[in-house]
Amino acid sequence: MQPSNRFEIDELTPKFLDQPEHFNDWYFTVHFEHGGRPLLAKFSITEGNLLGQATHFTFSQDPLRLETEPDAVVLHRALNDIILAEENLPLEHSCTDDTVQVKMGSLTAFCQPQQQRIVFDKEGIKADLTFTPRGPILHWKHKAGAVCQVTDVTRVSGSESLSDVRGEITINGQTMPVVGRGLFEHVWFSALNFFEIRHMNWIYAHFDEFYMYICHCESITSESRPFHFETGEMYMVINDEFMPADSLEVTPEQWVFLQEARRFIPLENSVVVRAAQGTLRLKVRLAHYPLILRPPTRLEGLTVDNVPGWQSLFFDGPVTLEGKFTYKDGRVVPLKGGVGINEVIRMGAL
Amino acid sequence: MVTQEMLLEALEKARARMIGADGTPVLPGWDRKIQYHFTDIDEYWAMVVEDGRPQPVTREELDDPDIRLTMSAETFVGLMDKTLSGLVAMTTGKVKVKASMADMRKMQVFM
Repeated sequence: MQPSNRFEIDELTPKFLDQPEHFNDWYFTVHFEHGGRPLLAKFSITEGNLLGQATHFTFSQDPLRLETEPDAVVLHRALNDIILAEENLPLEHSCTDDTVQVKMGSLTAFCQPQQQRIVFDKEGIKADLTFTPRGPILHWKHKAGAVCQVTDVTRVSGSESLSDVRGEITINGQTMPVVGRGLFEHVWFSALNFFEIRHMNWIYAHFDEFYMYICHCESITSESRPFHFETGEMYMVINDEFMPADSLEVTPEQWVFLQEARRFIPLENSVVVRAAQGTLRLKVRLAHYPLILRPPTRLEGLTVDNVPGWQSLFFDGPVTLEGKFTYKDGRVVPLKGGVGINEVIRMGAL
Repeated sequence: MVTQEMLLEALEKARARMIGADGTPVLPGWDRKIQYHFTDIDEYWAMVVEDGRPQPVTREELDDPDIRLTMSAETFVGLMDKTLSGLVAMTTGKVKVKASMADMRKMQVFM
Protein backbone atom coordinates (compact mmCIF):
# COMPACT_ATOMS: atom_id res chain seq x y z
CA MET A 1 0.00 0.00 0.00
CA GLN A 2 1.34 3.46 -0.92
CA PRO A 3 1.68 5.91 1.97
CA SER A 4 -1.20 8.35 1.95
CA ASN A 5 -1.87 11.75 3.49
CA ARG A 6 -5.53 10.84 3.88
CA PHE A 7 -7.25 8.43 6.19
CA GLU A 8 -9.61 5.80 4.91
CA ILE A 9 -12.94 6.52 6.59
CA ASP A 10 -12.88 2.98 8.01
CA GLU A 11 -9.71 3.84 9.97
CA LEU A 12 -11.63 6.47 11.89
CA THR A 13 -14.75 4.53 12.91
CA PRO A 14 -15.24 2.86 16.31
CA LYS A 15 -14.32 -0.82 16.14
CA PHE A 16 -15.41 -3.98 17.95
CA LEU A 17 -18.36 -2.31 19.71
CA ASP A 18 -20.25 -5.59 19.39
CA GLN A 19 -17.43 -7.59 21.00
CA PRO A 20 -17.47 -8.48 24.69
CA GLU A 21 -14.15 -6.69 25.15
CA HIS A 22 -13.02 -3.67 23.20
CA PHE A 23 -10.99 -0.47 23.20
CA ASN A 24 -10.93 2.56 20.93
CA ASP A 25 -9.17 5.82 21.40
CA TRP A 26 -9.24 9.14 19.57
CA TYR A 27 -6.17 10.89 20.87
CA PHE A 28 -5.06 14.42 20.06
CA THR A 29 -1.99 16.34 21.23
CA VAL A 30 -0.57 19.71 20.34
CA HIS A 31 2.83 21.20 21.18
CA PHE A 32 2.91 24.97 20.80
CA GLU A 33 4.35 28.12 22.32
CA HIS A 34 2.61 31.01 23.99
CA GLY A 35 4.28 33.88 25.78
CA GLY A 36 7.64 32.33 24.98
CA ARG A 37 6.83 29.13 26.89
CA PRO A 38 6.56 25.63 25.43
CA LEU A 39 3.13 24.15 26.12
CA LEU A 40 1.43 20.83 25.51
CA ALA A 41 -2.29 20.10 25.43
CA LYS A 42 -3.68 16.58 25.21
CA PHE A 43 -7.26 15.50 24.58
CA SER A 44 -8.33 11.87 24.55
CA ILE A 45 -11.51 9.88 24.25
CA THR A 46 -11.04 6.28 25.31
CA GLU A 47 -13.85 3.82 24.86
CA GLY A 48 -14.51 0.29 25.99
CA ASN A 49 -14.12 -2.03 28.92
CA LEU A 50 -10.50 -3.03 28.37
CA LEU A 51 -8.92 0.19 29.67
CA GLY A 52 -12.00 2.01 30.87
CA GLN A 53 -14.30 4.57 29.32
CA ALA A 54 -13.08 8.13 29.91
CA THR A 55 -12.09 11.49 28.53
CA HIS A 56 -8.91 13.29 29.49
CA PHE A 57 -7.74 16.85 29.01
CA THR A 58 -4.27 17.77 30.20
CA PHE A 59 -2.38 21.02 29.83
CA SER A 60 1.35 20.97 30.57
CA GLN A 61 3.03 24.30 31.13
CA ASP A 62 5.56 23.89 33.95
CA PRO A 63 9.16 22.89 33.34
CA LEU A 64 10.34 19.86 35.28
CA ARG A 65 10.76 20.44 39.03
CA LEU A 66 13.91 18.46 39.70
CA GLU A 67 15.66 18.29 43.04
CA THR A 68 19.10 16.79 43.30
CA GLU A 69 19.58 14.64 46.39
CA PRO A 70 22.82 12.89 47.31
CA ASP A 71 21.81 9.58 45.76
CA ALA A 72 19.14 10.51 43.22
CA VAL A 73 17.39 13.26 41.28
CA VAL A 74 13.79 13.60 42.45
CA LEU A 75 10.92 14.73 40.22
CA HIS A 76 8.20 16.69 42.04
CA ARG A 77 4.66 17.27 40.83
CA ALA A 78 4.02 20.19 38.50
CA LEU A 79 2.29 23.09 40.23
CA ASN A 80 0.33 24.59 37.36
CA ASP A 81 -0.46 21.71 35.02
CA ILE A 82 -4.15 21.04 34.46
CA ILE A 83 -5.73 17.59 34.42
CA LEU A 84 -9.46 17.08 33.82
CA ALA A 85 -10.99 13.64 33.48
CA GLU A 86 -14.50 12.31 33.00
CA GLU A 87 -15.23 8.65 33.58
CA ASN A 88 -17.90 6.14 32.60
CA LEU A 89 -19.70 8.37 30.14
CA PRO A 90 -21.43 6.97 27.05
CA LEU A 91 -19.84 7.23 23.61
CA GLU A 92 -22.01 8.88 20.99
CA HIS A 93 -20.92 8.40 17.41
CA SER A 94 -22.13 8.84 13.87
CA CYS A 95 -20.57 8.10 10.52
CA THR A 96 -21.18 9.56 7.08
CA ASP A 97 -19.20 9.07 3.87
CA ASP A 98 -16.69 11.72 4.88
CA THR A 99 -16.98 12.30 8.63
CA VAL A 100 -16.81 10.15 11.74
CA GLN A 101 -18.06 12.09 14.73
CA VAL A 102 -17.41 10.77 18.23
CA LYS A 103 -18.53 12.51 21.39
CA MET A 104 -17.97 11.68 25.01
CA GLY A 105 -18.68 14.16 27.77
CA SER A 106 -16.97 17.46 27.05
CA LEU A 107 -14.99 16.23 24.03
CA THR A 108 -16.19 15.94 20.46
CA ALA A 109 -13.99 14.73 17.61
CA PHE A 110 -14.86 15.33 13.97
CA CYS A 111 -12.67 12.99 11.97
CA GLN A 112 -12.42 13.38 8.21
CA PRO A 113 -10.00 11.72 5.82
CA GLN A 114 -8.03 14.91 5.16
CA GLN A 115 -8.22 16.56 8.59
CA GLN A 116 -9.52 16.06 12.11
CA ARG A 117 -10.98 18.49 14.60
CA ILE A 118 -11.29 18.29 18.37
CA VAL A 119 -13.64 20.52 20.35
CA PHE A 120 -13.55 20.76 24.14
CA ASP A 121 -15.59 22.81 26.60
CA LYS A 122 -15.44 22.19 30.35
CA GLU A 123 -14.98 24.21 33.50
CA GLY A 124 -14.07 27.43 31.70
CA ILE A 125 -11.59 25.73 29.39
CA LYS A 126 -12.38 25.72 25.70
CA ALA A 127 -10.48 24.41 22.73
CA ASP A 128 -11.15 24.09 19.03
CA LEU A 129 -8.25 22.62 17.09
CA THR A 130 -7.85 21.31 13.56
CA PHE A 131 -5.25 18.67 12.73
CA THR A 132 -3.87 18.36 9.19
CA PRO A 133 -1.35 15.60 8.36
CA ARG A 134 2.15 16.92 7.62
CA GLY A 135 2.66 14.03 5.24
CA PRO A 136 1.88 10.32 5.03
CA ILE A 137 -0.15 8.83 7.86
CA LEU A 138 1.78 6.19 9.79
CA HIS A 139 0.34 2.81 10.64
CA TRP A 140 0.99 0.07 13.10
CA LYS A 141 2.66 -2.73 11.14
CA HIS A 142 2.92 -0.45 8.07
CA LYS A 143 -0.66 -0.90 6.81
CA ALA A 144 -4.02 0.65 7.64
CA GLY A 145 -5.96 -1.75 9.84
CA ALA A 146 -3.12 -4.26 10.14
CA VAL A 147 -3.33 -6.33 13.30
CA CYS A 148 -0.21 -6.31 15.49
CA GLN A 149 0.40 -9.06 18.01
CA VAL A 150 1.83 -6.85 20.74
CA THR A 151 1.76 -9.56 23.41
CA ASP A 152 0.70 -13.21 23.47
CA VAL A 153 -2.93 -12.11 23.86
CA THR A 154 -2.96 -8.42 22.91
CA ARG A 155 -3.79 -7.47 19.32
CA VAL A 156 -3.59 -3.81 18.30
CA SER A 157 -4.41 -1.87 15.15
CA GLY A 158 -3.90 1.81 14.70
CA SER A 159 -3.09 4.88 12.68
CA GLU A 160 -0.90 7.81 13.71
CA SER A 161 -1.13 11.15 11.99
CA LEU A 162 1.72 13.57 12.72
CA SER A 163 -0.07 16.82 12.12
CA ASP A 164 0.12 20.56 11.83
CA VAL A 165 -2.35 21.96 14.34
CA ARG A 166 -4.21 25.27 14.17
CA GLY A 167 -6.90 26.75 16.39
CA GLU A 168 -7.22 28.24 19.83
CA ILE A 169 -7.37 27.25 23.47
CA THR A 170 -8.98 29.40 26.17
CA ILE A 171 -8.05 28.91 29.82
CA ASN A 172 -9.23 31.20 32.62
CA GLY A 173 -10.45 33.75 30.10
CA GLN A 174 -7.14 33.90 28.27
CA THR A 175 -7.35 32.83 24.65
CA MET A 176 -4.19 31.42 23.16
CA PRO A 177 -3.85 31.11 19.40
CA VAL A 178 -2.43 27.70 18.57
CA VAL A 179 0.02 27.17 15.76
CA GLY A 180 1.85 24.00 16.50
CA ARG A 181 2.47 20.35 15.82
CA GLY A 182 0.81 17.35 17.33
CA LEU A 183 -0.62 13.91 16.88
CA PHE A 184 -3.98 12.50 15.99
CA GLU A 185 -4.27 8.79 16.72
CA HIS A 186 -7.00 6.19 16.44
CA VAL A 187 -6.03 2.86 17.97
CA TRP A 188 -8.32 -0.08 18.54
CA PHE A 189 -8.20 -3.62 19.90
CA SER A 190 -10.45 -6.35 21.18
CA ALA A 191 -7.96 -8.35 23.20
CA LEU A 192 -5.62 -7.15 25.91
CA ASN A 193 -3.84 -8.80 28.79
CA PHE A 194 -2.27 -5.92 30.68
CA PHE A 195 -0.63 -8.33 33.12
CA GLU A 196 1.51 -9.78 30.34
CA ILE A 197 3.23 -6.45 29.72
CA ARG A 198 6.50 -5.82 31.51
CA HIS A 199 7.96 -2.90 29.58
CA MET A 200 6.54 -0.71 26.84
CA ASN A 201 7.74 2.46 25.13
CA TRP A 202 5.66 4.21 22.49
CA ILE A 203 7.16 7.40 21.15
CA TYR A 204 6.10 9.89 18.54
CA ALA A 205 8.32 12.80 17.52
CA HIS A 206 8.12 15.87 15.34
CA PHE A 207 11.14 17.69 13.98
CA ASP A 208 11.26 20.48 11.44
CA GLU A 209 12.68 18.05 8.89
CA PHE A 210 11.26 14.71 9.97
CA TYR A 211 8.63 12.82 11.97
CA MET A 212 8.21 9.31 13.31
CA TYR A 213 6.51 6.96 15.71
CA ILE A 214 7.82 3.75 17.27
CA CYS A 215 6.50 1.16 19.69
CA HIS A 216 8.50 -1.42 21.60
CA CYS A 217 6.94 -3.88 24.04
CA GLU A 218 8.46 -6.69 26.08
CA SER A 219 6.00 -9.10 27.67
CA ILE A 220 5.62 -12.58 29.11
CA THR A 221 3.45 -15.28 27.56
CA SER A 222 1.13 -17.49 29.56
CA GLU A 223 3.90 -20.11 29.37
CA SER A 224 6.25 -17.56 30.98
CA ARG A 225 8.31 -17.09 27.83
CA PRO A 226 9.57 -13.65 26.79
CA PHE A 227 7.66 -12.06 23.91
CA HIS A 228 9.15 -9.20 21.89
CA PHE A 229 7.29 -6.70 19.71
CA GLU A 230 8.46 -3.64 17.85
CA THR A 231 7.13 -1.53 15.04
CA GLY A 232 7.64 1.97 13.74
CA GLU A 233 7.67 4.27 10.76
CA MET A 234 9.59 7.41 9.88
CA TYR A 235 9.12 10.13 7.29
CA MET A 236 11.82 12.54 6.11
CA VAL A 237 9.73 15.57 5.26
CA ILE A 238 12.48 17.47 3.44
CA ASN A 239 13.19 14.55 1.07
CA ASP A 240 9.66 13.09 0.90
CA GLU A 241 10.98 9.72 2.03
CA PHE A 242 8.86 7.16 3.85
CA MET A 243 10.95 4.78 5.94
CA PRO A 244 9.50 1.75 7.76
CA ALA A 245 11.65 0.85 10.77
CA ASP A 246 13.61 -2.38 10.52
CA SER A 247 14.75 -2.40 14.14
CA LEU A 248 14.84 -0.11 17.13
CA GLU A 249 16.39 0.29 20.56
CA VAL A 250 15.32 2.53 23.45
CA THR A 251 17.96 2.73 26.18
CA PRO A 252 17.67 4.74 29.40
CA GLU A 253 20.65 7.07 29.92
CA GLN A 254 19.53 8.99 33.02
CA TRP A 255 16.97 8.15 35.69
CA VAL A 256 14.82 10.27 37.97
CA PHE A 257 12.84 9.31 41.08
CA LEU A 258 9.16 9.96 40.38
CA GLN A 259 8.00 10.76 43.87
CA GLU A 260 4.31 10.26 43.08
CA ALA A 261 4.95 6.67 42.02
CA ARG A 262 7.71 5.91 44.54
CA ARG A 263 9.93 4.61 41.77
CA PHE A 264 12.52 5.58 39.21
CA ILE A 265 11.66 6.38 35.60
CA PRO A 266 13.92 7.33 32.69
CA LEU A 267 14.72 11.04 32.53
CA GLU A 268 16.59 10.62 29.26
CA ASN A 269 16.62 7.80 26.71
CA SER A 270 18.76 7.23 23.69
CA VAL A 271 16.86 5.90 20.70
CA VAL A 272 18.29 4.17 17.66
CA VAL A 273 16.02 3.25 14.74
CA ARG A 274 17.39 1.48 11.69
CA ALA A 275 15.71 1.52 8.29
CA ALA A 276 16.73 0.52 4.77
CA GLN A 277 17.76 4.13 4.07
CA GLY A 278 19.87 4.71 7.19
CA THR A 279 19.92 5.12 10.95
CA LEU A 280 18.16 7.55 13.29
CA ARG A 281 19.89 8.44 16.56
CA LEU A 282 18.08 10.52 19.17
CA LYS A 283 18.32 11.78 22.72
CA VAL A 284 14.83 11.87 24.21
CA ARG A 285 14.42 13.88 27.42
CA LEU A 286 11.43 14.39 29.66
CA ALA A 287 10.28 18.01 29.30
CA HIS A 288 7.13 18.28 31.42
CA TYR A 289 5.71 16.28 34.31
CA PRO A 290 4.40 12.86 33.18
CA LEU A 291 0.70 12.70 32.31
CA ILE A 292 -0.38 9.87 34.55
CA LEU A 293 -2.81 7.64 32.65
CA ARG A 294 -3.52 5.36 35.59
CA PRO A 295 -2.56 6.09 39.17
CA PRO A 296 0.76 4.40 39.96
CA THR A 297 -0.36 1.24 41.63
CA ARG A 298 1.05 -1.20 44.12
CA LEU A 299 -0.77 -4.52 43.81
CA GLU A 300 0.39 -5.87 47.15
CA GLY A 301 -2.21 -8.65 47.19
CA LEU A 302 -1.49 -9.99 43.72
CA THR A 303 0.51 -13.17 43.22
CA VAL A 304 1.12 -14.10 39.59
CA ASP A 305 3.06 -17.21 38.69
CA ASN A 306 4.13 -17.45 42.34
CA VAL A 307 5.62 -13.93 42.40
CA PRO A 308 3.92 -11.99 45.22
CA GLY A 309 3.45 -8.22 45.08
CA TRP A 310 3.34 -6.20 41.84
CA GLN A 311 3.40 -2.59 40.73
CA SER A 312 2.26 -0.87 37.58
CA LEU A 313 3.03 2.45 35.97
CA PHE A 314 1.35 3.93 32.89
CA PHE A 315 2.05 7.48 31.76
CA ASP A 316 2.59 9.79 28.80
CA GLY A 317 5.89 11.60 29.18
CA PRO A 318 6.10 14.88 27.24
CA VAL A 319 9.57 14.98 25.72
CA THR A 320 11.96 17.11 23.74
CA LEU A 321 14.27 15.39 21.30
CA GLU A 322 17.48 16.06 19.45
CA GLY A 323 19.45 13.95 17.06
CA LYS A 324 20.27 13.16 13.47
CA PHE A 325 19.48 10.81 10.64
CA THR A 326 22.48 9.30 8.87
CA TYR A 327 21.91 7.89 5.40
CA LYS A 328 23.81 4.81 4.33
CA ASP A 329 25.69 6.92 1.76
CA GLY A 330 27.05 9.11 4.57
CA ARG A 331 24.72 12.11 4.29
CA VAL A 332 23.67 13.44 7.68
CA VAL A 333 20.46 15.35 8.43
CA PRO A 334 20.58 17.14 11.79
CA LEU A 335 17.10 17.19 13.29
CA LYS A 336 15.83 20.38 14.93
CA GLY A 337 12.86 21.41 17.04
CA GLY A 338 12.10 17.95 18.38
CA VAL A 339 8.93 17.52 20.46
CA GLY A 340 6.85 14.48 21.22
CA ILE A 341 5.50 12.08 23.78
CA ASN A 342 7.01 8.92 25.23
CA GLU A 343 4.25 6.68 26.55
CA VAL A 344 5.55 4.30 29.19
CA ILE A 345 4.11 1.14 30.71
CA ARG A 346 6.00 -0.76 33.38
CA MET A 347 4.64 -3.79 35.21
CA GLY A 348 6.86 -5.68 37.60
CA ALA A 349 7.43 -7.17 40.99
CA LEU A 350 7.50 -4.84 43.97
CA MET B 1 -23.86 -7.32 56.70
CA VAL B 2 -23.79 -10.05 54.09
CA THR B 3 -26.15 -12.92 54.76
CA GLN B 4 -25.44 -16.51 53.79
CA GLU B 5 -28.16 -16.21 51.17
CA MET B 6 -26.47 -13.17 49.60
CA LEU B 7 -23.12 -14.96 49.58
CA LEU B 8 -24.55 -18.04 47.89
CA GLU B 9 -26.33 -15.85 45.36
CA ALA B 10 -23.03 -14.13 44.54
CA LEU B 11 -21.24 -17.47 44.15
CA GLU B 12 -24.00 -18.60 41.79
CA LYS B 13 -23.47 -15.42 39.76
CA ALA B 14 -19.80 -16.34 39.40
CA ARG B 15 -20.80 -19.82 38.21
CA ALA B 16 -23.39 -18.45 35.79
CA ARG B 17 -20.84 -16.15 34.13
CA MET B 18 -18.87 -19.18 33.00
CA ILE B 19 -21.79 -20.39 30.87
CA GLY B 20 -22.78 -18.53 27.71
CA ALA B 21 -26.30 -17.64 26.64
CA ASP B 22 -26.41 -20.74 24.46
CA GLY B 23 -25.55 -23.01 27.38
CA THR B 24 -21.99 -23.73 26.30
CA PRO B 25 -18.96 -22.97 28.50
CA VAL B 26 -17.31 -19.59 28.00
CA LEU B 27 -13.95 -21.21 28.77
CA PRO B 28 -14.10 -24.64 27.11
CA GLY B 29 -11.26 -26.96 28.02
CA TRP B 30 -10.52 -25.07 31.24
CA ASP B 31 -10.01 -27.30 34.30
CA ARG B 32 -9.32 -25.45 37.54
CA LYS B 33 -9.92 -25.57 41.26
CA ILE B 34 -10.86 -22.15 42.63
CA GLN B 35 -10.67 -21.39 46.34
CA TYR B 36 -12.56 -18.49 47.88
CA HIS B 37 -11.65 -17.38 51.38
CA PHE B 38 -14.05 -14.85 52.88
CA THR B 39 -11.99 -13.34 55.65
CA ASP B 40 -14.66 -11.49 57.63
CA ILE B 41 -16.62 -14.67 58.22
CA ASP B 42 -13.57 -16.95 57.87
CA GLU B 43 -15.32 -19.27 55.47
CA TYR B 44 -13.68 -21.23 52.66
CA TRP B 45 -15.72 -22.02 49.55
CA ALA B 46 -14.59 -23.97 46.52
CA MET B 47 -15.61 -24.14 42.90
CA VAL B 48 -14.23 -26.82 40.63
CA VAL B 49 -14.35 -26.17 36.88
CA GLU B 50 -14.23 -29.11 34.49
CA ASP B 51 -13.91 -28.47 30.77
CA GLY B 52 -15.18 -24.95 31.41
CA ARG B 53 -18.26 -26.13 33.31
CA PRO B 54 -18.40 -24.95 36.93
CA GLN B 55 -19.52 -27.62 39.37
CA PRO B 56 -21.75 -26.70 42.32
CA VAL B 57 -19.94 -24.64 44.94
CA THR B 58 -18.97 -26.42 48.13
CA ARG B 59 -18.00 -25.11 51.53
CA GLU B 60 -14.53 -26.57 51.99
CA GLU B 61 -10.85 -25.72 52.06
CA LEU B 62 -9.00 -27.33 49.16
CA ASP B 63 -5.52 -28.81 49.50
CA ASP B 64 -4.17 -27.59 46.17
CA PRO B 65 -6.30 -24.91 44.51
CA ASP B 66 -5.11 -23.44 41.20
CA ILE B 67 -6.57 -20.01 41.99
CA ARG B 68 -6.90 -18.42 45.44
CA LEU B 69 -9.20 -15.43 45.97
CA THR B 70 -9.17 -13.80 49.39
CA MET B 71 -11.56 -10.99 50.34
CA SER B 72 -14.44 -10.12 52.62
CA ALA B 73 -17.86 -11.48 51.77
CA GLU B 74 -19.05 -7.91 51.37
CA THR B 75 -16.36 -7.21 48.77
CA PHE B 76 -17.25 -10.38 46.90
CA VAL B 77 -20.93 -9.45 46.79
CA GLY B 78 -19.96 -5.98 45.59
CA LEU B 79 -17.85 -7.44 42.80
CA MET B 80 -20.56 -9.80 41.70
CA ASP B 81 -23.30 -7.16 41.59
CA LYS B 82 -20.81 -4.76 39.90
CA THR B 83 -21.04 -2.05 42.55
CA LEU B 84 -17.28 -2.52 42.98
CA SER B 85 -14.79 -2.82 40.11
CA GLY B 86 -12.19 -5.55 40.17
CA LEU B 87 -9.38 -3.09 39.45
CA VAL B 88 -10.42 -0.84 42.34
CA ALA B 89 -10.75 -3.85 44.63
CA MET B 90 -7.26 -5.01 43.66
CA THR B 91 -5.56 -1.64 43.92
CA THR B 92 -7.10 -0.83 47.30
CA GLY B 93 -6.12 -4.16 48.77
CA LYS B 94 -9.69 -5.40 49.17
CA VAL B 95 -8.89 -8.53 47.17
CA LYS B 96 -5.90 -10.81 47.19
CA VAL B 97 -5.37 -13.01 44.16
CA LYS B 98 -2.98 -15.88 43.58
CA ALA B 99 -3.08 -17.27 40.08
CA SER B 100 -1.00 -18.05 37.03
CA MET B 101 -0.51 -15.54 34.23
CA ALA B 102 -2.76 -17.61 31.99
CA ASP B 103 -5.55 -17.67 34.56
CA MET B 104 -5.43 -13.93 35.32
CA ARG B 105 -7.16 -13.14 32.05
CA LYS B 106 -9.68 -15.97 32.31
CA MET B 107 -10.70 -14.78 35.75
CA GLN B 108 -12.19 -11.67 34.16
CA VAL B 109 -14.99 -13.93 32.94
CA PHE B 110 -16.29 -14.71 36.39
CA MET B 111 -15.01 -11.84 38.53
